[in-house]
Amino acid sequence: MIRVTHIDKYYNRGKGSEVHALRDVNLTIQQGERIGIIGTSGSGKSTLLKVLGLLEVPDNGDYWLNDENVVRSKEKEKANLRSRQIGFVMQDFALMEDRSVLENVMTPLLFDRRYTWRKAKEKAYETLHRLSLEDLAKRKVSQLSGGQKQRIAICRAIVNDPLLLLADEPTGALDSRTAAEVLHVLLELNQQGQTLLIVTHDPQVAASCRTIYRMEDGHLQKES
Amino acid sequence: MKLLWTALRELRKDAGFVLLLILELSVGICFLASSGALLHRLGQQLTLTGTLHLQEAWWSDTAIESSDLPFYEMPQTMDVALNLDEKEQEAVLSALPAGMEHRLCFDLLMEGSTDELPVVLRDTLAEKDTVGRRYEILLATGEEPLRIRVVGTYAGGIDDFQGDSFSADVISGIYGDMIASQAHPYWEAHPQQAACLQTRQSGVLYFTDDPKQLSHDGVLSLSENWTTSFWSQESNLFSMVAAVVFALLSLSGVCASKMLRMCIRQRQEGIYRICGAAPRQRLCLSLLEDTLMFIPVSAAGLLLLRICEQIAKYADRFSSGYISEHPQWEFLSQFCNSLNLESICLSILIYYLIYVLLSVGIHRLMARQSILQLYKE
Repeated sequence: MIRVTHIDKYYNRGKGSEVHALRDVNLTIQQGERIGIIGTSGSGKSTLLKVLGLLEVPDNGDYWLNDENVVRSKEKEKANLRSRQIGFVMQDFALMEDRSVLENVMTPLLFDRRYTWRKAKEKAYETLHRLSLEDLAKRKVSQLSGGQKQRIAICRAIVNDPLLLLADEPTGALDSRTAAEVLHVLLELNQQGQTLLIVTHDPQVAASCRTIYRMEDGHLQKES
Repeated sequence: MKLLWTALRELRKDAGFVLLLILELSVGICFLASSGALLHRLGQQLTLTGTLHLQEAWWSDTAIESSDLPFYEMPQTMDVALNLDEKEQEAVLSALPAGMEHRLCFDLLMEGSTDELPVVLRDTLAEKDTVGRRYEILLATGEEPLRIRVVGTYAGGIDDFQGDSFSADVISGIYGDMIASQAHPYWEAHPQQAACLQTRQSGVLYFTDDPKQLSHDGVLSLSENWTTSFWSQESNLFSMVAAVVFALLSLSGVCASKMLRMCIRQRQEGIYRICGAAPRQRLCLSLLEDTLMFIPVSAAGLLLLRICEQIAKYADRFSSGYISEHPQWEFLSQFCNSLNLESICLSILIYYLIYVLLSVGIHRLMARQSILQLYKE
């Protein structure tokens, strides 16, 4: 279970350009849940995602990940948690274009001590197979279409069997047909038990989530 | 191992940077090594002044006519030089001013404490059992013969020593060297005391308590002379300036190429970060890449050393005539001769450390921004 309580996040604190990005944010995510967060640009959605992904440290509040408060964890521990418990899917895919699909999918495992190069390769193939993408393994990312890239990004995000999959506008850069395909992949993963949190502008994507929250000026409110 | 493999794969794309750095760094390394070796030589010369207790030795370009100079006795501690082992003797002798080491007169390092003159001979002038033996050399004046005791040898050049006795050539050689000193009235009055040593350049080394009494323009203490002559040589100065210029150029090149690489890779850094790479792992990966990149740089530095050695060989062959007097050739010859494996290795190490420090600094500075490349509010 994941729980954040009374989270506050400021940028440029104490300066004239201070931004209060998150204001007293509380959120609980149960295992296997599918949550959507909607909101206008600049409302703090991505900041919340960064806090949940342990990429930003909140100024106030607690973050409980599997009954462990990780707010004050060291960067090394956070990196370890990111490596084993959190998967990221980004709007612009965040793939290394000049590398092969296999190399991209293997990336999270390269930094995980449990995997040797060989094991990492096997695990990457296994995950590609799970999403029926094994044919693309040897192809360079730059040669793929947007939809294929996003599916590869999802593949990379789940290669380490994460507890939480964070998707930031996963369909934002795709046409409607491809977006539907990618959404289908994410929903299928959720049905298999993968906890999913999606930040989106797309009403169709938001509608597919069981629980929807709206982010407004740093406040997180559950949609009725 | 995984990180090493990843670093190797990443370097495939950086061939251009690698070539640029090889060029910049290897030239920089050679200039640094050359200048370092020249300065080291000066340092050795100055240390020698201390080792041989020559602090009160003064140097003049021409012989002094006056016989009233209050010369000191040659310091008793001169035997310090004689007690050195072969390697140390070689090091000491190689640090003597240019041309001095080839003079037999300076091979005779004199104690002056007994009527026996301890001498150090080139090994080609002596056999092993020659060391410790005493010889008498008849002086041309028919006076009392000069007694010498061979106390040591060092690697030298003349190959005309025969058996138990000196050949006529060697005796005349030794005598020829000694006579320059003995001709001095003070030497005649105090035959056991070494008064002065004449060099090939007709510079004279005096031991006196008051350099003013030498009353001669251009009289300098020995260490001053070494320092002055070092800095007055254009080739030395040029080598130093070139070393500084190339060091700055190559290091700015390192910074520029590292920053450029990081700019290109900032997004990749962000990707590694979301994939769970710890800061240390990312830094380690960057260090591995930099180290792997430095291997060809080191190889190029060593290759340049080999080329310089070959040039130095040819420089020796052409060491007579117009070409050897030419300033550029002189510089090239000086530059090549001062390079050696130790100085190159030390320079590579220095450059590597600076390179790594700069790389780590730039990496830390730019990696902070990496995540911004992926997340845009």
